[in-house]
Amino acid sequence: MTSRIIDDLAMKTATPSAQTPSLAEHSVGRVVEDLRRRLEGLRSLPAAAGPRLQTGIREIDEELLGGGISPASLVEWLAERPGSGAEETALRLAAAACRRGGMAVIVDDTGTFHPPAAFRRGLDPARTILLRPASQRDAVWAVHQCLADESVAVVLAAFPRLNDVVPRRFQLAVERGGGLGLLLRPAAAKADPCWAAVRLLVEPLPWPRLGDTLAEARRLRIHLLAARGMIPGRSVEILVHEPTYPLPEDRRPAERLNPSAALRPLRRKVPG
Amino acid sequence: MTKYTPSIAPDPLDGRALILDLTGLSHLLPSESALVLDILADCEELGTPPVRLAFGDTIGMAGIFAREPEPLTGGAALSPHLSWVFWIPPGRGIAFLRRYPVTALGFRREVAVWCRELGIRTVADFMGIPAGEIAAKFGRDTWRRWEEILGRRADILPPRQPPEEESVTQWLEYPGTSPEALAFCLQRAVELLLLPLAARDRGITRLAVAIHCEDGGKVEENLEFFTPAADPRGILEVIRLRLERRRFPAAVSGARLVAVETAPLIRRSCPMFEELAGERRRTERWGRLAERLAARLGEDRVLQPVLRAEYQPELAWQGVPLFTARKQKRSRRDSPPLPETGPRPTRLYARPIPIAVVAAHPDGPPYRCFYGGRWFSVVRAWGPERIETGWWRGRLTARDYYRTEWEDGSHFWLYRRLQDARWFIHGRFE
Repeated sequence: MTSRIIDDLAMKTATPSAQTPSLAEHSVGRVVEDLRRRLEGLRSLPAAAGPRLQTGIREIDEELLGGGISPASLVEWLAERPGSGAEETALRLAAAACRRGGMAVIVDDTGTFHPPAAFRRGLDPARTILLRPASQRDAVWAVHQCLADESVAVVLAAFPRLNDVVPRRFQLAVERGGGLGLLLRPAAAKADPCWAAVRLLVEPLPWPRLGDTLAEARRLRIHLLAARGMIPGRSVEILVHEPTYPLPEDRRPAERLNPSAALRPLRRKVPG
Repeated sequence: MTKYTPSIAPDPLDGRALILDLTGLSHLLPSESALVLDILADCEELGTPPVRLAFGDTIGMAGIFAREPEPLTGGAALSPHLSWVFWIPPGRGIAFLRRYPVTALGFRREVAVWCRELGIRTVADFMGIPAGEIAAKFGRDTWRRWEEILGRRADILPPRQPPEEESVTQWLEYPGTSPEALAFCLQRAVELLLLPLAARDRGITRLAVAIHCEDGGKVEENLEFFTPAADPRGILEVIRLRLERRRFPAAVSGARLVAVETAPLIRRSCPMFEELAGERRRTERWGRLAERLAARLGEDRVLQPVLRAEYQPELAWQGVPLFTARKQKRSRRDSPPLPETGPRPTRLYARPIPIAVVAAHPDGPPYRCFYGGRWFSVVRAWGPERIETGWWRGRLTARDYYRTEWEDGSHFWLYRRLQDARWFIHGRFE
C-alpha cells in the first residue's frame, strides 16, 4: 500500500504541469524522492548471513519472513484469542532451532503446557526442559538467564503482560546467548514498543464450510507487525495441517458419527 | 569409636547397636576395664542415652550379649550413662550363651516358630541338635549364622570408610546484617573448602550450607551441582540465588559449608574439531545454568518431561526434577514410544473446566458451547476419540474426546464423560 501511494505521488510529480515547476512542487518532488530512496534502502537490506530457521510453512518462511529467521532472534507471537494456534506455529520454529543442537526450554508458569503435544511437533524429549516458576518475576528472570546462555537453543514463554523494559533485556540477552527466543503474548501487546526481530500476529479463521471434517487443517492469518529489514503490514493466510494419527480399531467407538450430517438438521432447532 | 579399631559397623540385626572388632588389637588397647571407662567417658561427652556394653568371643556373641542382657547376672550399673557392662573371660562365651533363649540367636522368624514347636527353648537345647542336621532342618542360612556365632566360620567386619566430607566454618568478626558481609564470609569459606578438594582433583556435587545467626538460629540449605563444581564464582552464585529469598532471624555471625558429596573433576582433552568443542562447551554451560535455575526457582520446578505409556492425557507424561532425572539417567531411549492417539493440545488443564454443550444428539459431537458468558457455534468437530482406561487404579476414566473448531476459529479439546454425559474443556490448541 505504501509503495503504491509513493508511486502515485511520484507519477504526479513526474508529470509537470508547467515547464518550470513552482517552489512547492519542487519541494514535494524532493520529499517524495527522498522517501522513495529510503524505502528502497529498506527493501534492499541484505539478508542476514548464516543459517535461517524455518517454520516449514512456505507462506510464512518465504513471503512473510523472506527466507526464515536468524537463529539468534527474539520473535513475538501475538494471539488474538485463546486457542488461536500461535503456540502451535511457534513450536514448529522451536523444533527447527532445537535440531541445530542445544536445549529447548519451555517456561510455563500456568502449569498447563502439555509436552506430548510439543514432542509431536518435533521437540526432542531428551533436550527439552520445562520450567515452572512460581511467579512472573521468576519467569522473567528464568527467560533472561536462558536466553543469555549459549547452551540453550530456544526458549518458549508466554507472558500475558510485560513492561517495556523486559523485552529489551530479552533482546540483549538473545544477542549475547545466540539462541532463539519465542514470546507468546496477547494481541493487546501490539501497541507496546517492539524490541523483537519479528513480531507476528496470529488470527484464527473459521473454516468456510460448516462441518467439513474431511479437511484436518485449520486456517490462520499471520500478520507481520514488525520486522527488522522488512516492510511490516503484510499478511498471509495459511492452512496448518495438524499431525494426526489413525486410531487403532479397538479404540474407535462402535458407531462413528458423521458430524456434518448430524449438525445440519439440528441447527434450525436450537435457539441462538 | 574409630580410635579403638578401624573395623566398626552397625549390627545388622539391630541398627541401634555398634560392633567393634578388636581381634588382634589387644596389645594396642588398655585393659578391658580401662577400655570400658574410656568408652563411658566418650559417651558422657557426646551426651548419648544409656548404653549397653558387652564383650564376646565372636561378633555374633557380643551382639547377643549386648542386645539381651536379661538372663545375665554379671552386669552392673556403673553410671547414669551406662546400663550394662558384660564382660566374660575369653573362651567362656559358649558357657554363658547356653542360658539364652533360642530367639536371641537372631534366626529367621520361621526358625523360631519351628524351634518352639519342637520344644527347643534355650540355646542349650539348640546345641543338642547334631551339627549336620541344622542345615537340613532349618536351612543353610541358619546353619551359617550358628557357625558364625560359635566362631567356626569367619565373621568379618569391613573396615569403616571415613566419609569424604570436607567442612569449613567461617566466622565474622562481629555479627552483621549487610549482604556484603555475608558474601565476604561465604567467599572465604568457599575458597577454603575448595583448597583440599583441589589438591585431590575433586569437585563438589552436594553442598550443605548453614548460616549461623546471632541469636543461635541457623538457616540451612542443601545444594546439588549438575557436574563436580570447583569454580568458586559459580558455587557462590548458586548459594546467593538460593539464599536471596531466605529471611534471617538475626544478624549473621558466620557460615558453615560442608561438601557432603564430592566427585573427581572431569578433565578432557581439547577436541580437534570445532563442532565437538562447541557441543562440549554447551553441555558444561548447561550444567551451570541448570544449577542456577534450580537454586533460584527450586529443584522441583526445573523438570524434564518424561513420557509415560498412558492413554489418559493427564497421565501421559511426568515432570521429573532435572537432578533426579540425571541420576536415573533417563533419556529418549528410555522413554516409551508415543501411543497412537489423536491430536493433542499444547495446553492441557489440570482440572478440566465444566462447560454447557448442546450436542447434535445424546452421543453426538458438540454443536454449541457456552463459554465465557456467551454461546459459540462449533463449526467443525473431529472425533470421538474414546478413552476408557484406569479401571485398575480403582477409578474408571471413560471419555469421548472431540477436537472442535469454534465460530471464531479457535480450537478447543472437549470431552464428554460417559458416566454422566457431562461436558468438559480439557485443553486448547494454543
